[in-house]
Amino acid sequence: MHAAIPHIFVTHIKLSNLNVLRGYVFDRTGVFKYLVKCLCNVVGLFSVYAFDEAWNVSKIIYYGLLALNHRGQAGSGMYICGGESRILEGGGDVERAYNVEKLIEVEGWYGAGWVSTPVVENRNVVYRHHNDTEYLVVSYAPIVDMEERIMECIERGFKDVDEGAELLNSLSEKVRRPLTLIAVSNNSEMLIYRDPSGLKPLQIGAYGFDLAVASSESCAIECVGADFRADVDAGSCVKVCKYCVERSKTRRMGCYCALEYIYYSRLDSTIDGVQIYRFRRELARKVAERYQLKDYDIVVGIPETGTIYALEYSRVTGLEYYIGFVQTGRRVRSALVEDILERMIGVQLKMSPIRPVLSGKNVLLIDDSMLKGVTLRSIVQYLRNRVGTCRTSVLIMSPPIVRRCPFYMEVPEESELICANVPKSELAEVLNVDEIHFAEIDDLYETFKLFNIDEDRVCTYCMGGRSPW
Amino acid sequence: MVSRILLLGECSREHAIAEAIARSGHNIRLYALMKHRNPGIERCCKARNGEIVLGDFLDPETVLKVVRDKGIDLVVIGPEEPLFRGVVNAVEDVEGVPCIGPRREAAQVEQSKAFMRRLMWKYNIPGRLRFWTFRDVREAIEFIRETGESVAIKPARQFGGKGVKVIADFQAYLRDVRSRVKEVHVSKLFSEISKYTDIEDKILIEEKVEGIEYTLQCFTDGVNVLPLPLVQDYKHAYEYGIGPETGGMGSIMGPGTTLPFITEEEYEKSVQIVKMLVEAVRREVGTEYRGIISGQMMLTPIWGPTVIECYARFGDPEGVNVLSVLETDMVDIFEAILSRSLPKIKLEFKNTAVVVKAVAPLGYPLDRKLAQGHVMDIDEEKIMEKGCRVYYGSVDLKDNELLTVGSRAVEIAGFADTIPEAAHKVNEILTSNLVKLRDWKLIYRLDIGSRQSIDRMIESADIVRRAYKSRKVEKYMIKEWIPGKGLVTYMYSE
Repeated sequence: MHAAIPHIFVTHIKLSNLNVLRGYVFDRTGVFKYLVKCLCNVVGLFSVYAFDEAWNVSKIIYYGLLALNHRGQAGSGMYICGGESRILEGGGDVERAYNVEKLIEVEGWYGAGWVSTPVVENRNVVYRHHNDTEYLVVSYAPIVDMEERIMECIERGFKDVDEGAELLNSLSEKVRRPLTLIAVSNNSEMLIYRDPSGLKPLQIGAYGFDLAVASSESCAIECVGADFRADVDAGSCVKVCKYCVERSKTRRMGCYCALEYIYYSRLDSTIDGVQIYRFRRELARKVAERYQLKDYDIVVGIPETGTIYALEYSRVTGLEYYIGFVQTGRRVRSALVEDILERMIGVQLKMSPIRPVLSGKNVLLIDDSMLKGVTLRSIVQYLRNRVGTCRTSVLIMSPPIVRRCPFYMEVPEESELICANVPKSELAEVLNVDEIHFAEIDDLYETFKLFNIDEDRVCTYCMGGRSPW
Repeated sequence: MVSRILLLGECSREHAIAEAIARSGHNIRLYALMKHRNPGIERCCKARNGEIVLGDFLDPETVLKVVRDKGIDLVVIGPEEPLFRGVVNAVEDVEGVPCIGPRREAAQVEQSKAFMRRLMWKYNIPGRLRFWTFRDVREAIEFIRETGESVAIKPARQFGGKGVKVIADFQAYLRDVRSRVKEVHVSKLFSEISKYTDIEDKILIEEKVEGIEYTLQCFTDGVNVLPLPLVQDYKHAYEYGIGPETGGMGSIMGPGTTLPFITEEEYEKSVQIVKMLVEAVRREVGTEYRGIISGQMMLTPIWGPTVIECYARFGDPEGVNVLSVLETDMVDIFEAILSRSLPKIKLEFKNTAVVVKAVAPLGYPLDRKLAQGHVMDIDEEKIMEKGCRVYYGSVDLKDNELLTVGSRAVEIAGFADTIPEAAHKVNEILTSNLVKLRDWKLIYRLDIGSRQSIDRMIESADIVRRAYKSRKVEKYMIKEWIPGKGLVTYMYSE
């Protein structure tokens, strides 16, 4: 069984490199373990708990992570428990990080997994022995620097969900971090907690009488064949063990992260009762009403998130929509790639232009958001110089992003955000477009209002707006 | 005229039956036979100048003795197991005392799932599913490996509502994970069920269908069927509808005869199906089915109303929903059943929504030993003050202390104009410590009957309704094209 491990780690583990990779340990029973010190900033959570021990959940977690891969593509990992507990840690491309055929050999009837974006060191995953029990805690927010306090809350939470939730709520509020997390112990228990801000999504589902599932987004619950049951309430804790699912009485009025709805979540997900597809369609309508741009032949969405916006813009304004690009290779979310060169590679592969659609045309490009502007600039460059578009402009479905997110949403440093550094009047020039327009914050608020969400519950901090938390 | 009634059973359902009998305007005495002292049933018996007898109500000899000792002239059977053991046959044949509850032959509709399925196919009753029975474990496992479909694996004989495994299998990429679970379950079932010698088929594998479940409970005199309002029962043990299968952790009903997600037409269709079942039983086994028959139904994309299981009794907790608001005299109904004149009865109910929630000791349903022997404190007066009612279940009153027996200990019923309001009332009771165990936790579900859960149910029912109403092929056939094999037709009708 242990010999099977190298087959499962496809990406990075070479036993001869043991001394250079930090954190490899043998636990007390002599089982080879990898103490997580991966470079990660966790952005997607997924866990499964089987009430019948005949289940092997490792492959189910794998598919859950695959469905959450759009949230983070720099790293991933899972903790499988029930047999001998074990941590598998892989690269960011979930599909290639694990040998799915071998995965079924990793026995366990409950466990958790995550996907991450890169930062300098591990901040979000704590794995340790504490009072004779083995725990793994994975959170959207950094927890490694306050491991002791987190462990205290978790242990309390396993004993009493109400007390655990109270402790975690006050800790979240004190350190101003959205400590939404999943904790798994080798005592056959799982704790699911959503922080009082409600900014980070966390949902719960079920597969028949057999499995409980928790996930960042409903698309992963569906991917493993389970049914969505509920969004975990902001500020509340849910304990899952063999004999009960217990939910804390604590509850807060949660907030809504605008970027989560505009860009981050998958189009087939529903978060806090808002269907992402409907949200984006309504937002596109609002923006289309604001900008009825003339002098264009076609509107083209920048894949993949831009597509739905462009379609709806076309429907409202009558400007014809065309598919403008074809993708080569696997899907990469270019905004999530840190390295400029890699990002360029990603963009170029993702966006092979269809010449007969674009050549000689006045093209309006639509994208969901613009962070560094690198992607957009290289697309425009290519379209103008190699494809031969005429008038080439851009409409962005979010307001300009000008601030780093204090709540760990993947937004780069202010010095790297184009809208924080280049005056609006010079943007078109810098990006080499004829005109560029952005959605207004009010468009966003009005869209949220259609879903009965009050504007003071919406966080638009990164767009220069307010943070309700 | 009936004058001395004996009730068999000891759970919340029987408490509700006892209460309904005790409300009767007839001059009757009520007795009850049970293993554990149920304070609710005892109270009802005392109110009607009767008493409880402690003893094994599954054993025909014990029942006969009580019938003789107390001069009983009507026996009402609450749970299913006495039916399977032939208690009705003994009481009717030996003592000539009539029963509310079918004879053993007729009770096969519940005891043997294979019997029920075959009956439905033989008599062309709508709402049937494809099924396969197995007597050999290897054959069953081979079948599972070959088909790789969504299936429900059930023990062919009822044993306490346990052993059912439902595996939806739409994701080809997870097929191997699920196949293994199916195989392990089949082997486990075979080893457990081989101790029952009263049945030949060991397990039954049924096509698994998606849809919305609901229960239709009916009185029948063997010819006529008198339907009660629909109830929906929640089988998952834990909050949010997660976790293992139970007898039911709660149920919702009303106001009115149908549920917010079932149409009048679907209700009528379901009643029709139960009527056909009763008729089929009469023709197949030659005895008239007298008592209560319940269809555990599901609205499915194939048929609309489809039979998932059949009960020869009230559901528990579904029985509590209907009986707690029944205004018609229960003894009148029993007499009509015995004289085969049910059509004379007009069933009346208080026009209100009823939500029932079960409270069980931690450990239920996976480890009943853990759930056993805890002392329960319950403030019934306060609960009544808040407009709810208590139905005692799996508890034993010993030396003035209530001890848990291992299953659902009490059921709380709440009443209001809408289901969510009634659910809210019950939730207030559950969260305010009016029912508690000393040094042990209770489990219950706050999500049952919530606005969100009903909205989700309405949404799912709409999907299923669109599917079954738009089925192209007539006569309930399914046509499937399998590349390389050809056109396959599954018949749902002969």
